[in-house]
Amino acid sequence: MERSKKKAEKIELMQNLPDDMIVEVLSRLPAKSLYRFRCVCKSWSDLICPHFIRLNENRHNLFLLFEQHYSILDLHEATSDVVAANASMVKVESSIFKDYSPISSLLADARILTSCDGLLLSVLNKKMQKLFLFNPFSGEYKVIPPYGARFRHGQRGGQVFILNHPSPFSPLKLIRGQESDLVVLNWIVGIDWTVPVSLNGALHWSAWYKNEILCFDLKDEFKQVPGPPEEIFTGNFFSLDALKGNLCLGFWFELGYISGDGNEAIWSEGILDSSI
Amino acid sequence: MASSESTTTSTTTKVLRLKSSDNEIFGVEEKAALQSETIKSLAEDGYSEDVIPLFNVEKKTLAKIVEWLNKHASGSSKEELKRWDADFVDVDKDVLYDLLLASNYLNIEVLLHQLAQKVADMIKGKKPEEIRQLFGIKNDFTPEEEAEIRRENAWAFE
Repeated sequence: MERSKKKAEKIELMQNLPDDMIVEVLSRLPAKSLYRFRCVCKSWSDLICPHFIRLNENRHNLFLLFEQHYSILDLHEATSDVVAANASMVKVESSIFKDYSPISSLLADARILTSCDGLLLSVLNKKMQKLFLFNPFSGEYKVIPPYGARFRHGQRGGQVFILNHPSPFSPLKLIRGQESDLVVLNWIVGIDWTVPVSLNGALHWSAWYKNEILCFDLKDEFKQVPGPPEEIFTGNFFSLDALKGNLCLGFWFELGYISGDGNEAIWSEGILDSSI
Repeated sequence: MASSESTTTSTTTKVLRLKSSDNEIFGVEEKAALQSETIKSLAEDGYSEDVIPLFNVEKKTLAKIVEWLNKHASGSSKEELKRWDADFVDVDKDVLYDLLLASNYLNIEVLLHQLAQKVADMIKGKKPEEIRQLFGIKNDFTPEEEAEIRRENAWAFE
């Protein structure tokens, strides 16, 4: 009798955990768990969405990969010194975006330009040619006001967009430039370079299907960053990104990191959950 | 010279006496004890010569907390601490909850983060029903509301 009473008190104690402690716990969960736990009770549901997901991103560096469909790699398990061995990849059908009005109906026409820490920078192709930042988990978005020349991404002489997070707690920066000013795009002809990624104040490009990464420091000259070792580099990578201060190459089913500023590149790999 | 030496010695060896809610007294070196912001402010308020009462922490929990404070003030290597911390939080959920509340009350940020991470690791793969059971939470959704949320977030239930 005494025992069961004590147990009941204990359970009540957990229920009375202050919200900020529940947030401490929830903010460490991967997005998939968070969305599942929205139906635990009303107060958890209120805590979790949508502001909360943004908080979560700072901690876990959600990383978005995409090609024809949207896929989200949740690097919740990864820490800066541990490879994402347990990272799971969540495939998100584009239908998930349907509920996010008013942007949802527009998203079908949108193209993703680049991503940073789980946020997408996208452009609407038709009519307005609007640029917006989009958080696919929370559905929040922010339209970026037009500036200067008319937006013509993908054309020669068009604009280049770089999303950058100088540190986990600083605001996200959007850098725009004219492609013609960024000489590097024409530096090696005959090779297609990825969208530039900003890391440690330098821009990085990767050549599609080639084990070559190029770095351009505004104070310095161009230099080539050692790529991953041959046994890691499978050739079919599909994105270059900056993650927790590392350059990161996404391969199908595999993930490579490069750490440091490229001078002392250390590559390590992580095998993703193959259940995608 | 001599006086500065003696000051240093007295600071490093000063022991604070912490009293649990059930009146057990623990002697803890000041350097270790001051990792708790709550103890720090109580000590600054003049409790340091006397016993510092911690009304919200039972002795079995305070013993664990003191163990943690001592270890983290011992100058162990980063790797050693990491291993030790992993063992420290590897306890059953009741102990974990007590530690979580105590570290919040005592305002020991590093420990609070470790414990919150442990709870998160424990619950991340669970179903909502299991979470309700674990936390003693009453489901206050109507069946229709719950079905709606599940439908909206269907991908998370796969």
